[in-house]
Amino acid sequence: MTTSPSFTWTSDEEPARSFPSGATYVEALQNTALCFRGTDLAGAEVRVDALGRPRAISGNFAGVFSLTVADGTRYAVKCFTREVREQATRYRAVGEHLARLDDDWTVGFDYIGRGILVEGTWYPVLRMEWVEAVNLVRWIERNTDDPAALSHTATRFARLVAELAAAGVGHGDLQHGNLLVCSDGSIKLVDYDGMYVPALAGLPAAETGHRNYQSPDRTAADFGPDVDRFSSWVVYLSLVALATDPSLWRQLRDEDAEHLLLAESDFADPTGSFRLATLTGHPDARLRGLAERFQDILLHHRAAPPPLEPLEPFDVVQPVKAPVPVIAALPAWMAERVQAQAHMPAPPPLVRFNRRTPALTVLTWVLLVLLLPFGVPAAVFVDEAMAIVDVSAVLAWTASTALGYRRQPEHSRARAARAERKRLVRARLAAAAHLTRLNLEARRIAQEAERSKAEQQRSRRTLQQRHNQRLGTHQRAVDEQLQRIDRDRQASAARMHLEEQRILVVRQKAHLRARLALFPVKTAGIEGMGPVLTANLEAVGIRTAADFVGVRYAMHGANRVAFFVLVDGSSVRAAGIGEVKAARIDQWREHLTTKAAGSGPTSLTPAERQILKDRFAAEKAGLDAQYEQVRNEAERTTRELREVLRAEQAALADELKAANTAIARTRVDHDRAVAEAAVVLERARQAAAEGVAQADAFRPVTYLGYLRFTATGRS
Amino acid sequence: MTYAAEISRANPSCFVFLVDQSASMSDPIGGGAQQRKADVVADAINRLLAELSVKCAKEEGVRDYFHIAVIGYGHTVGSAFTGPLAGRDLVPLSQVAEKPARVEKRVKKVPDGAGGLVETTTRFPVWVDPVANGATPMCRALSRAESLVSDWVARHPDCFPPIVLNLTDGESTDGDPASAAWAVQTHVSADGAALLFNLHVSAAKAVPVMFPDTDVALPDTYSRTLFGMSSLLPPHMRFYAMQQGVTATDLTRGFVYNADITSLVQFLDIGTRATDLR
Repeated sequence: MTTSPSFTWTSDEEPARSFPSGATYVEALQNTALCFRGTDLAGAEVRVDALGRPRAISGNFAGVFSLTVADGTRYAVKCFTREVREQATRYRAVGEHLARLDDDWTVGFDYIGRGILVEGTWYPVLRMEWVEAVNLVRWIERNTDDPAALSHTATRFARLVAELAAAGVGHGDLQHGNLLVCSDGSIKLVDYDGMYVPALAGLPAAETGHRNYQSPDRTAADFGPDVDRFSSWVVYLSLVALATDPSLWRQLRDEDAEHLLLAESDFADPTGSFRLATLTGHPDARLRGLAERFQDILLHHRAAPPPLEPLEPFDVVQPVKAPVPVIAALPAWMAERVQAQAHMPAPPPLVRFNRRTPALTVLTWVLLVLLLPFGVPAAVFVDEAMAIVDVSAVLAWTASTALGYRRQPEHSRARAARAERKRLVRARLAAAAHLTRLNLEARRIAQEAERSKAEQQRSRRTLQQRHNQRLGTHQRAVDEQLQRIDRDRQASAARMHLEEQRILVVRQKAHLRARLALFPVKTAGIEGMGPVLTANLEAVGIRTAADFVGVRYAMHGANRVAFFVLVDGSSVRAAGIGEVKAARIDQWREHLTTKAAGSGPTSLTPAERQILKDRFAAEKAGLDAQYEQVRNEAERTTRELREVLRAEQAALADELKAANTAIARTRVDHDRAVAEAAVVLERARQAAAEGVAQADAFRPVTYLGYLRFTATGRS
Repeated sequence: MTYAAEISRANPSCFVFLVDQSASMSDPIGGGAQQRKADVVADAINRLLAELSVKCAKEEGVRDYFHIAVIGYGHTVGSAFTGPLAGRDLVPLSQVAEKPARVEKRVKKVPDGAGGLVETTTRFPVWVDPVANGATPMCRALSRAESLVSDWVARHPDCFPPIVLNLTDGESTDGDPASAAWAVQTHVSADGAALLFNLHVSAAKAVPVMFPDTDVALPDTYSRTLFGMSSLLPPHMRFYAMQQGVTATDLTRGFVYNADITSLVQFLDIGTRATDLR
């Protein structure tokens, strides 16, 4: 029901360049008069989102926008976000090839080289007819309860695959997003970016398709009419499985997952795949067969899968155009399933015996009529021989009825059904026990993760503490050293000060001597000091006030004698100078001394001080250098300690990362195991309930039931 | 194999943006532009959020392939969202797309395709406003990112690893950020460790250092610290970077020094390139 697809072509070759992003297109499309200036789409109305901005449907390398032109025609306009080599050539070839086909899966398009103006540059667009349809996943979501519709779609899909093969076309990216189901049930194939048509032979693939639909072995070199083989198996098997058992939709995939019933991990590891195992172990033989075939492909022909092998020749199925009764249009493998499912809740009818052995019936009645009323009392009261006969008869009857019961065909079926029930119930119990174990395990894993988290925080803290400790020790040592140097510096300064004082004292003494030397004794006019006594003083070396420093007295016999203390500390006696005169002379000196001291130096001259400073400079410089050195070394050590900390932190980070990776893997594996175990349990419950119902149908098939049937013909 | 997990609604990933909001962000950005650093960064984040929303838009609307947090650090450390998302950290992308603070109508002159310029109005959603106030508590910001990332991988152990993008213009004022940075990267999913990428916005007219694979050309300890804090680019990002004309080797790190406007945009583009979305 395509609207006359048109495949036209307008283009110029584009050089390699970077393309606008999705949001840049959204910006440009806010003014369609401008961005489509001079094209058929100029001024078209673009569908907007809640914010009033053009609403995109984004793929990996393009965004699609809905545009409605003045005459009401609606288009899907695809804007590319990356340059594809030979895109124009590819679309031209695809367009020309599809135009020759009469298949209803095609959607018409025009590739327009000068399609949209974005920030001053023209980029190509693909203008496609708008298809009212939903993608396969959404369609399945709406139809999970409709096995008939699902089986239709499976058949339609198989036909689509055959049509592609017949036309020599490879879509390149068969997946749910590119398979649209229309309201009439027909399937449209969209997104021809990666399509192969014979004219493109020799080129590499423009893309390698959706990871959940492609063989892990597929490369860009795989580009030809067979490119869809793998994905068609994936889609078809999923559709057949869902038509057979809709609960698989919920059981084998997460809500919102981007795949049908199988995904990349199943293709990569088919032997470890739970999903595949569920399909190959399915109770439905035809589904099982199809799944086993696909498993075989995965194991042995993954790189070069065979063409799809649909369950029934699909040309047998009549396309549903008129409202034909649904079941009539179903393939044979499906019809009975649908019918069966229609009355699924009703239990199977009771199985009854239907092969009666007349001889046994007669014998039974004889025994009943004769033996019970007469035989037993006779045996008890009349005769032992009679009793033996009776017992033998009863034994013979029992043996033959038991044998008859065992020979009934219902008997072996009932045994089989009961054994199956036992097996299934056991399987259910085992599945429940397994899930319980896993749930307990979950608690352990959670505790382990918590413990590990706490442990990691502790490790980090410990590392920091150790660093702080090292840093503290280092800083204390440095402080001590610096304090010592400081003390040395202070001591040096103190020594310099003392030296200054000492020199000053020397200077002051020299000044004093020089001053005192200016005052001879002979001109001093000291009372009683005539020329003779003055000469006597001179004789002991005392000419001026500078020649002695004091007077001391000593007892000489009964007399106190005065001694003059000379500058060199020695004492002399001067003839004729007694205690009184000596005291006078000393007073004179004291007086002069006091006068001289007032005029003496109070500090060193700048020159003297400089000399002193120079003397101490080397010492101070040495200490300052030591101080700087200690400080520099301390900084270097601090840096080194920080480097050590960083190295330790980096090593710890690697360690934690490894530990956390292990935890994450355990959790992922465990989560998967739990999810799978839950599915196994659900399926085991289903199977067990069915097994119980099947076995229950054989309720009448018992030995007693058989006896009643033998006797009365009713069971 | 790592950094290859499928991103889907059933198994989403997350982005945490750390935005420096210190006082110096009010200086003009280097490279000759007359814009404040804070304005440029806020604008780039808003553009990126719009870009991600478009990238994850499907028939039925925006899909929650990612959850997104924007954490500002300056005067305080906390959610930088304004409007209906204010105060929230990780927000599903569909809600981000639906709830900007406002949609600004921006008038700009664009080429009309015929050699002239024409004025056009575009609607520009805004989630984050520029802020420049306070110090640079980078360690606290990284710790915040760490706790978000840690919770995330606990809830999504099989996800494509979370990506943290730190945009800053200065030295951390609350300690050595290296340890906090490595702590972020110790949180892993089964698909690999959380990624931390750092961008330093410059006020100087220095040449940006884009995605270096060694720190020898970096000018100082600070830039080398940021280099050492940054994760290696996973293979698919390297591949994408090379497609964008950026040299990338096995040792290339998610780090830009002295970024101008162009390199900021490129950093965000490459740094948020998760695995292909379908």
